[in-house]
Amino acid sequence: MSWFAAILLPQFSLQAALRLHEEAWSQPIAILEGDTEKGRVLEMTEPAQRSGVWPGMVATQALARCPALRLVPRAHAQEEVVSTLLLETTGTVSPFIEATAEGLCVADLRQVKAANWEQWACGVVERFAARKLRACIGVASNPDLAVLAARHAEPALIVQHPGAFLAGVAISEADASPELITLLRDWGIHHLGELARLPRSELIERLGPAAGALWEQAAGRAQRELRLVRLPETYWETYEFEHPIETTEPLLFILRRQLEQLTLRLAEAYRVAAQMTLTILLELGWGQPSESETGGKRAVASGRKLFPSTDGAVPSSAPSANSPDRYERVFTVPSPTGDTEVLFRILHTHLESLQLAQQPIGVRLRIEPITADASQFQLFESPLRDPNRFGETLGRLAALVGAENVGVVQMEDTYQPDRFRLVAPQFQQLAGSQKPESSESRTLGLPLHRFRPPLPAQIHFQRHVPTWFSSLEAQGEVIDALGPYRVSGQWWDQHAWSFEEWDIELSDGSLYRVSKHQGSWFLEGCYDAPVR
Amino acid sequence: MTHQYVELHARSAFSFLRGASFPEHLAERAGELKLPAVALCDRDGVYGAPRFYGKGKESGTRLILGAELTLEDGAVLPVLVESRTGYQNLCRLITQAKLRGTKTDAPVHWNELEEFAEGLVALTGDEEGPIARCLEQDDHPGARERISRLRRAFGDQNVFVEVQRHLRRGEELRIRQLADLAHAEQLPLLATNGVQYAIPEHRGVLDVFTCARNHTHLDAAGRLLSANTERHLKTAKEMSALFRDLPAAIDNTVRLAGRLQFSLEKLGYQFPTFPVPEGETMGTFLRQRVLEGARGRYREKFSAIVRAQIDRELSLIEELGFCGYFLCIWDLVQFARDEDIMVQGRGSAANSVVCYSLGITACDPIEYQLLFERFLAQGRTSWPDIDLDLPSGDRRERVIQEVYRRYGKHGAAMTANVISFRGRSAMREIGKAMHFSPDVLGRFSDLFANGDFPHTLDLQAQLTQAGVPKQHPRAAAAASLYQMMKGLPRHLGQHSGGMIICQNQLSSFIPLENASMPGRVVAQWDKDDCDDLGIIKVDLLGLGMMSVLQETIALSDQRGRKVELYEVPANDPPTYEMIRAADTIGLFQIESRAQMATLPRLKPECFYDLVVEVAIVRPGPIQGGLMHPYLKRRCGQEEHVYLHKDVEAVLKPTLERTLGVPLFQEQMLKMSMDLAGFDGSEAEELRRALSFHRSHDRMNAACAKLRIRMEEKGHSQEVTDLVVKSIQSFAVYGFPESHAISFALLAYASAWYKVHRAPEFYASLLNNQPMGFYSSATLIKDGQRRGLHFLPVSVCESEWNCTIIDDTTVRLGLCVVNGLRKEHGAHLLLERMRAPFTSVADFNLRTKLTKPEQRTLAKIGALHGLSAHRRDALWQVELPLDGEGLFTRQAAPPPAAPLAPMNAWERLEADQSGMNLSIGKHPMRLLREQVPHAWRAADLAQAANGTYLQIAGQVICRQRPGTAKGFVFISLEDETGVANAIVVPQLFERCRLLITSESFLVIEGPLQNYGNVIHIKAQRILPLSAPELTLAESHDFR
Repeated sequence: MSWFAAILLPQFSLQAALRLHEEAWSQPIAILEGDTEKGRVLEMTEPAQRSGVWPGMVATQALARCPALRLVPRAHAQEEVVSTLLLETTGTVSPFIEATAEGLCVADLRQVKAANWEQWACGVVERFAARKLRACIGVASNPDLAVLAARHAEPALIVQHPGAFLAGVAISEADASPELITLLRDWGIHHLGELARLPRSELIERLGPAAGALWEQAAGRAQRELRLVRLPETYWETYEFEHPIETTEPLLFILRRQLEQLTLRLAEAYRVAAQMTLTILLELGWGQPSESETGGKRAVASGRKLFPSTDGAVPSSAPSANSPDRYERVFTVPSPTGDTEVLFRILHTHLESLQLAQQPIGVRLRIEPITADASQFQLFESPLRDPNRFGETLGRLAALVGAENVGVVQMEDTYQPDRFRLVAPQFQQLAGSQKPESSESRTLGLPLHRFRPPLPAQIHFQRHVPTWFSSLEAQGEVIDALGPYRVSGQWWDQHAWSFEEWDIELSDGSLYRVSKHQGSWFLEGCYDAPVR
Repeated sequence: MTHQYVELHARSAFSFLRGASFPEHLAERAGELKLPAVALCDRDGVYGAPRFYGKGKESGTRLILGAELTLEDGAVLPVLVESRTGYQNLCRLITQAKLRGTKTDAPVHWNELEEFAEGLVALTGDEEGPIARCLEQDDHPGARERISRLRRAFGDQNVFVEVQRHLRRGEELRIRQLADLAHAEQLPLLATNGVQYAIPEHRGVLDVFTCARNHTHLDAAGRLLSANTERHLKTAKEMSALFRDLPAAIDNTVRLAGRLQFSLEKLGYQFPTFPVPEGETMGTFLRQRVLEGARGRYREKFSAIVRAQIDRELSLIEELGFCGYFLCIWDLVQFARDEDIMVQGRGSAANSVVCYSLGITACDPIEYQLLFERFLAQGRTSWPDIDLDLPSGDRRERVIQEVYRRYGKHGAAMTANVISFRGRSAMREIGKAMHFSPDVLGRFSDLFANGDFPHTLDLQAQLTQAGVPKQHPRAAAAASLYQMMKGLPRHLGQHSGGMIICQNQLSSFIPLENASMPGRVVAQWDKDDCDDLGIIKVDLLGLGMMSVLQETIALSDQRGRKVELYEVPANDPPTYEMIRAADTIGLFQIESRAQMATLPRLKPECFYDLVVEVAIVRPGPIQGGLMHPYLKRRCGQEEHVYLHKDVEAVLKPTLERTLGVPLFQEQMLKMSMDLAGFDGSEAEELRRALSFHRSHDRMNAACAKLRIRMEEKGHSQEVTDLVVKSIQSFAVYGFPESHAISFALLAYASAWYKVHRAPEFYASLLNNQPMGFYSSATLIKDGQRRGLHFLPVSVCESEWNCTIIDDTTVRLGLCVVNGLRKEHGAHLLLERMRAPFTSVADFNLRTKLTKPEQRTLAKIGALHGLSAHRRDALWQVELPLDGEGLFTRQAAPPPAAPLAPMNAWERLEADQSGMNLSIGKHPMRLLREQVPHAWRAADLAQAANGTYLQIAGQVICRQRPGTAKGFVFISLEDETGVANAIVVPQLFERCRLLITSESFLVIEGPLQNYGNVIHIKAQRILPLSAPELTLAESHDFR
């Protein structure tokens, strides 16, 4: 007889959200389903449940029952990580696995020889516990039965006698459409045992093949082929330090080892690295301010003592997706490669100037692979000679001036003068023949050379018209002026801005743009105009 | 140097999401800025004009009428009204486009402009205008071509090239282009500011509206938002400075404004004349109808007093020119009667013997000594108000459609009902714009004070509890926007029953548009606007109780015991006994919790007591502190005082019947006549001023006049203050006595039928749901407590409606089944009439109900008689039918289903989910063992005052009246009746969500029994966990 193991991560969303916060399980916390007006409780911790909070309850009713309840939205990114962990860990049990549902997978155990299934299952549970996940395992003679067993397992359940087990299983736990479940409830069928007692053919006659399949489940006879999945092609390595580390050396040492492993695997699969995600796990309790909130000056020197920062310094590069317990940054590899040295240089350049407020306790490196590019440049293309070197140069620049100050300028959709953002360069486009589209279709008037930052200035007015101007760049009598031009925006938060601008002509014929911002005058720029 | 400027292009919030200020605010601000006139050009309508006009008269700013017209190519053309012809053309043009288009897309065609251009002046518009749109695309020939079109349509003298300067880069080029165009075409330039809000602070509201229109949020809206805050009303000096390079553009505003002299005062509206036989005038014809009617109504009581009153009223009606109006209403009432539609006039019309004689109203004003001046008075210019109550539903719709049929689609319309941003909707829009999560907005809404109770939760606290704490970077902006947005119009709905009609085409006086409801046309002004401008409104209101009474009478007739409404015996002791016991669930007007709490104290013994009861449990008398004095005086606990001993002799005849407490508007009018020497029209003007919500100035002026006149009459300051305070306190909500009498008639009749025609009355109540205060479930439990038996829905026995079996038994009809379509029900009944159903299979085969309908009927036990039990029926309805139904599948009886019958709780659950009611056990009977110490509702009368006890039950009503200082009233129904609890504000705030979200509650506290009014003063509130039930909605905060 073949055996199947269903591995279930109960309260999947809650586990994903609280995975690295063990202490949170003792607090009343509920996960809210959906970003809707009437958010409903999906899962909740035991203290919340004791206060009368149930799945399906609307948020307000849950708060009514448990005023201290903390409502947490679903952490989709973390759920994805946990899903991957589930599959990976199950993959260590058997190569034949099915991703049955969210937080649930089934493994075909035909190649597993276990003298004691109970003991074997507990071993698997421990493997999950090491990954900070609570798993329940059901082992049975068919996949659906194993799934039902997993739902009843504490933490492992081996079904030797399907009939006895199924009699007490609620109908709602079976794999069937909600409509069918509701109909059966109206019939007074609440457990699979009751369903199994109904005449199969008459049931199918009335409710169709779906009911028949459910009946098979209820009778413990449902045999089906697993919808096998390949383990996700993820290239990642993780390492947890024994103690929090203080300098870059151990981190770089580990990262090099990880890269060597990963590039080896990439080479075996004829792939190259297109993107690397570096995640540094930090020693930080939940609720503490994140590094980006602490503020402080930017570290310029490549300090070897990386952590902790005593002056609350922010990292030199803006993290892409940080939370209080981690630092994460994504590196796009300008020219995808499998060369360990090239990849390591990218990481090394970045880490040279990174300072964090908390001590790292672990590091994870993930690589997004692609097939090596075999295309040939066209005759008249002038690609970058070495995109990776260019990328490295950008990395060094970012280390010097801050990542937020490196990139391609893109004007923002706002009236705020000179408001732009820097976006990461698209290496494929830079290397190819495509030119970035101009963001503004029409330009009116004379070209303006902007002073960045604008220069402080002084202006004298008579009857609301500028008459005298003075700044480091220019000064003199204003012989003509156009304005004022007024723009303002973002009045809805603390970033509100307001400008009053004038175009002035000085007695020497030069034209300038001046503006008043937050009560002070500035010289914004100089028009490119022939001097009279 | 004096500057002169008239703003000729302004939009108010009545441009619906395209303007950010009330028209009144624009008028007020224009007055402050000393602008002599402002042209209000709302988008595709004149919605805001009456409000601007009213306020403008006070602030000294003249309204120039206009509108922005959306053209078929998307351009927006502002037009201004020069003459009455121009106004009528504008209204007709908008109506034509609106009735042709859809609610959201009804453009005017370019080729229509010429037909309706007379009396209108066109501007070339702002950045959305036809010219600017061409220039934006460098289409100069296109701009010239459009100018030519406008000249052809409006004439050379009536086209102005509009220039606006909002201090934005790039606009100088546009202004130069427009100036060149004007020069080339020899057209005058006209400066406007394209005003979108009264003051700069309102720019934020406009940005939020922009987000709402574009379905985006502030962070993503980019350059859709305003560039700056320049589109507010500006002074002549500011505008002159802005256009110092184009002074003619400013001067032209004054010149053009001088031409635009049309005012809403000169609307020229006329009510339809009534066609009378040859040789008759409307006056003589009306007199004949009144005398005929009076003889029929009064019979032997047709006395000289009646005759004299009729003469007095008729001569006044003739003098004021209202004969046609009365005849039209009489005609409509005749139509209703002919169509067997119950009709009854309400409101001040009941003060008129003419209305009584014409059969419009049901109570005799002479018998009740009602003050005619409340209805009509010498010197009055506004139309009298006649409201007709009709049975709600189809019958009322028939009368409305008859009005449309008689006056045509362009001659009659429903008045508008302006849907405004209220607390929830305002924050919802703000929240969406600010990109708050839907969950936060949902919580904000849930935390709202419900009903008419004012906010006790501070806005900041509410935001904080919803998830936007004070430190939130957007909290301050959200709170400030919230205050600015509340009350602004959101969109136009239709009034529940107000209709306006017109002698000529109504669409010449108000633009009309299609309502969302098919077959309905709605005017752009609400009833107050129409009233202010002298456009007469007839309210055709639907009353559920009228339907119930009409059906009760019909059912009684079928059973040979018909009693018409006018035949209901007066002073019936069992009826009054029931009313005194507050056993009033299902009755008209006196079934609410507050009424029930008052009845045992007021102890009505005669009809007039009921009139007082109907009138006294109202916000006005309660806020004015009139209820308790009246009740105390009635119980002999307080002396009868007539306001002040100095005026006792004068006021006693007026106030005696209400024991010295002024309760009715008629009394207020009479007091002002007796104490201040007001004549009828002055008194009515006082009432109108005090009940006019929009203008405090108008109220203050009216009170000042009252004071002066009272002082002139020599009354002391103390007496004057007392009278003014008393009048002010209830004028806003005060009830006309005639109205109270009309309602009390229905209240008494409903009570009489409940006592003497119980099965007919309950069946009718159930057939006309939803209506009234309580759900069908509560009505059934109430009926059962009164000894009535309800039989379940049965496909073999039930009709569509609930039917009477005998004097104590009602069979539930198919109409109570959730989701059963009426046409399917009719087909079922037809098949049953053809031959009785023999089995479930036979039933399925012949009725062709949908599967969900079959399942619901099986689940609620309606297939009983064809099956052994509900689950047996459920098992059988699932059996598929043979293809064409050629063979009956089940020749032999089907084998018994392998399903177990439902238990009591399952049956209850099935009933609730299938019908929202159950004739079986009350859920509390099944939950009783969970709360062994809870007192049953019926037993509470046995408990001593002050006993600390526990009650438990299903929440059927949560109330928080505005007059109750934050107290909340909860009604819990159990298997024996209804128990009431009072929750103090502090406890409510602590348990707000528990109270508002739980279906079953346990409440503990001391019992209070004052004069058989029993309440538990809640000290502890707990949820009572029950298996999930689909319960009928409770009556919450309505």
